[in-house]
Amino acid sequence: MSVSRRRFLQGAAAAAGAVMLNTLSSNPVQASAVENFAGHPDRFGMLTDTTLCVGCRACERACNRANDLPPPEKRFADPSVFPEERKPSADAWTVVNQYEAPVLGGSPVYRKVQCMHCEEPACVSSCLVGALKKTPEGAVVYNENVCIGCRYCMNACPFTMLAYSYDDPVHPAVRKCVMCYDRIVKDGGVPACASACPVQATIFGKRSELLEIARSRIKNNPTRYVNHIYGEHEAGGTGWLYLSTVPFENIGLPANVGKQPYPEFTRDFLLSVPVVLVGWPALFMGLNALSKRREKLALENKDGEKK
Amino acid sequence: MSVNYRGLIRPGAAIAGGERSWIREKIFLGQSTGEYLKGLITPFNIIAALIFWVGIPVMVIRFAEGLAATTNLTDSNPWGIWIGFDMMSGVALAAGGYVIASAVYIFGLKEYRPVARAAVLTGFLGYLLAVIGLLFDLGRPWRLPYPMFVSLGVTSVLFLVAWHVALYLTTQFVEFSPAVFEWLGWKRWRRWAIRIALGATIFGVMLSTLHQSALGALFLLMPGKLHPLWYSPLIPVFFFVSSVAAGMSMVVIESMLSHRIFLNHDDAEHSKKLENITFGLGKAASLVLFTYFWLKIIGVMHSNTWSYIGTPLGNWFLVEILGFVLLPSLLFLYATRRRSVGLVRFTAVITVIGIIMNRLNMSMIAFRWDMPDRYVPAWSEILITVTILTFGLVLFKWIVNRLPVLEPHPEYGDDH
Amino acid sequence: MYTLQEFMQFTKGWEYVIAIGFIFIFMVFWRLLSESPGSKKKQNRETRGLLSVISSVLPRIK
Repeated sequence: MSVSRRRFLQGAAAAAGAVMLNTLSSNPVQASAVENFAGHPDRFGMLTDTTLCVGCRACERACNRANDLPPPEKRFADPSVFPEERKPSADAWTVVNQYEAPVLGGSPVYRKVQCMHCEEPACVSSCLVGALKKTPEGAVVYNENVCIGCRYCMNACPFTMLAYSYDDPVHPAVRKCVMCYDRIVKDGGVPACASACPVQATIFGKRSELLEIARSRIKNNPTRYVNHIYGEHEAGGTGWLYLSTVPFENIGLPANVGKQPYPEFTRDFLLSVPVVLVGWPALFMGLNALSKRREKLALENKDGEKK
Repeated sequence: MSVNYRGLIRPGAAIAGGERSWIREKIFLGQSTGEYLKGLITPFNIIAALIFWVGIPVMVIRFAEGLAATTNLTDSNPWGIWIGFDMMSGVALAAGGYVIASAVYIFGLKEYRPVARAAVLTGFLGYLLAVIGLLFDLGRPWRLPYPMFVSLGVTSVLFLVAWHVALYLTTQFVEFSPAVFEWLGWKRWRRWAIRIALGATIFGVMLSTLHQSALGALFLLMPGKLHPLWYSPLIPVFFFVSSVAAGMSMVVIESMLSHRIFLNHDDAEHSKKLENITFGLGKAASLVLFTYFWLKIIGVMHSNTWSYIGTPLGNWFLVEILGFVLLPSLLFLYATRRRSVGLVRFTAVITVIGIIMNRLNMSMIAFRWDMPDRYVPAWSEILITVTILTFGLVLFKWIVNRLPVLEPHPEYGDDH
Repeated sequence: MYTLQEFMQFTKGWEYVIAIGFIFIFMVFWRLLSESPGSKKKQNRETRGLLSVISSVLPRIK
């Protein structure tokens, strides 16, 4: 009796272990090969051509005004912010950073930094109340009315673009660029930053069309551009695209983001939930029944011996 | 049978005075108000009072002035020790509840029954403290029920954690409720609670498997932020297996401390039983830690990150898995073979430290390891954590002094 | 479905519903399985009640 029980336990453990290891270790390449998601057609995107940007920060000012953000510590015209590599914050949803560019003989390169509006955002999949959403228009927007402030989204973002208003004791919230969603849903609406850019370094349009524009720019001017559109495939593709004359790591765009959509990293683990919910009751009821049977037999043996 | 069970009126004794007597019997341990209050002046209580004296105002400030005023959290480091320690380590260390409950009810190992109630209580309190810590960490803590009832983000691992912790707290309370009903004398409720014990235990184990591993799975979404030696698709398995070892070790420690502090008899039979239980747990923990160690090795093999071993953090990784996983595994083995209870207990402490170290590594030390802006907890964060912990210990002490947790209730005995 | 997120939302939602529903069905199943002849009357009555409900519903499904 004890031998068969032992064998059952070994078998069950091995099977359970195999299933668990298999489902818990992500096998994402398979997943994306089976389902291919095209994304909402006609969705918008933005293209920032850093070879055109002059660092005037008009986009920062426009964003600040459009979203009723508090005035900054240093004025937008003040170039003393540039030595520091800034990140968007709760009160500044986009910033322009200055980077050194050895290629161009010392003249700096400027890059506008903000939420990348990923095609399959990590933040959206991470939100336990669904406060972040990828809209059909392409913008990733935030609903302050359900957010509980767990800040998982901030960790999930591979670009670390989300900010939090820690200062606010009563209604702190996540803050980030929302691609001026209220504007772009109206006909002819354009985000404030793109409207304000005096050199058209940042432009707004359908993501598919912006990709075409970017490709043609590279084709027509191969010495000017690195032959890559950052955001075409990064993290499964982003709504914000970049062109650059220097390698993208040199202007603060991470090289280690990969091509996989981030939600796929946790997708296989999530599968183990229903598997455990369905498998464990049977497993443990079985074990319990076995141990009860063993007890019963042990008692009967004892009685048998006494007789 | 000796009744060293403080404050219990023996069955049959007349209860005079009605309501006031109930308070006297149940709350004041059978003493008059004056006596009871005088008895409260103990070293532990004084220290706890001091901690509350300093900590509670800081807690108030946390809610009055917000997170910026009381924490060092930033946009790049949104999670601090309230997540890394209170939530993650706390939940791992509270695993004793489901481990012992499974041993007794699912695997039929009745010899662990003496420590079962205390383990379930520790489990319940551990999760309760983790949730309390969460209330301090959340930006809008009054919205805690939102993922359950208002807006369900089903694609999120954290959604799972939220549901499971909530359900598990309830389950642990149900598992513990027989002790409460015995204390209150509510016989029919007690019978109901005992009948559903098996179902509650299985439900609890399911929930535990999932949320222990889910806490680890949170990190799957951040491959670029976690050091390669710690990042692995196997993280959920690591968290689950290590929680089993953590739970066993905590039961070893807690049962030893409870035995010394709360039970005032030198019953040789009792001590022998506890020793056997301790050895049993030590053996099991040895196996679990050994398994955990090899799983970690497999994880490194799978990602082929051996080259990181020589680096400073790589050395720290070795300290964690060699000094605090493999070593205690071997020590447990040695201690059980040599029948040294003291060594088992000592090793349990090492194991617990190792689990805490792992959770802190995952959430703070190996997290964003290559970034210039690192996080260090503010003193107010540490103080609030210590205050919450003290509150948990005070609760444990209060309950154990009154309810039949460490010893069976004389009226109901051991019948389950 | 246009995006992976939408796909996951749909599938996860239903997976959880199915899994939770399973637990209840499993309890019924276990109850039926663990019954032996000569067990308490109350259990038999319950089972008979359940079986009669099931057998009255099944023909209607056609």
